[in-house]
Amino acid sequence: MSIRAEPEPSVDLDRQITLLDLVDRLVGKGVVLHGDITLAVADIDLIYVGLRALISSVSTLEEQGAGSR
Amino acid sequence: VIWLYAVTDHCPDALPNVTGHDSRRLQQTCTAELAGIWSECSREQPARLTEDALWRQETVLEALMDDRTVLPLRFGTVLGDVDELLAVLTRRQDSLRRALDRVRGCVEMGVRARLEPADIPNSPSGGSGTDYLRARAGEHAIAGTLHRRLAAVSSAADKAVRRGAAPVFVGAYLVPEPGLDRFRDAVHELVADHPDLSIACTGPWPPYSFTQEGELAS
Repeated sequence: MSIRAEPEPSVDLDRQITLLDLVDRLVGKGVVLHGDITLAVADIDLIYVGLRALISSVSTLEEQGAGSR
Repeated sequence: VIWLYAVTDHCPDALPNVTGHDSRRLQQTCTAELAGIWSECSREQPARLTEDALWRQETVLEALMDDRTVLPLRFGTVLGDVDELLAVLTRRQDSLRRALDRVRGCVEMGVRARLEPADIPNSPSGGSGTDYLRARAGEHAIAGTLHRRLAAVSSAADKAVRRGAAPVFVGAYLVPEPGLDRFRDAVHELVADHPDLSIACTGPWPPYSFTQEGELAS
């Protein structure tokens, strides 16, 4: 679901905002079982390295989208 | 090595017909009260942090959410084996159950809004100090207005203001499922009342932002 104030909602922008919300939640929220868990992923930093490009492209888009009207 | 997606209520039902990462079969390991949902993964490379992998994880959680209460785990949570999972579920049983009780019957909704009207400078260098302070106070007031309206139709709420090139309000709301229409109505009202804010709403999500990890960590 998506509700936008834009007169002509951009499908791509909606998709990117949803992705940004997804990244925020999956990587930044959720139950953490520290101490109990081999936080695999080789190194947790790798997650953020891998995500950096993704997040920055989404953030840029969000700002562009917000300013495009 | 097993990749964990969620902790749920103990559930005698079969798992939903979706596959996990790498097309692996979803499996569950139950204690008397809880279930851990997982799939096998490679020890060498458990996580492929791609957009597809993030959506795969979300697809699994949404399918689980259809017939049980779900506590999503942080992406990248991997355990050595099922015995390790059973040990965690047993040791954390009370706090995990409390966390499940808090989100039972609820989904999470996300709301973003651009707080900065286009004609107000974003930094002191873009205008006078007075303009800048006025802009910051305005953001604070608008964020409060949005959050109060949405929190009033939610059972729990969380908000932040992110400062990139432009300030963005980011709110998360735990909404009882029967109240979803009421929540959406509130969003539509805000969109109508604040056409300049570029408000976006996403969801329903699994309750990622309301897993109360602080209490779980105790």
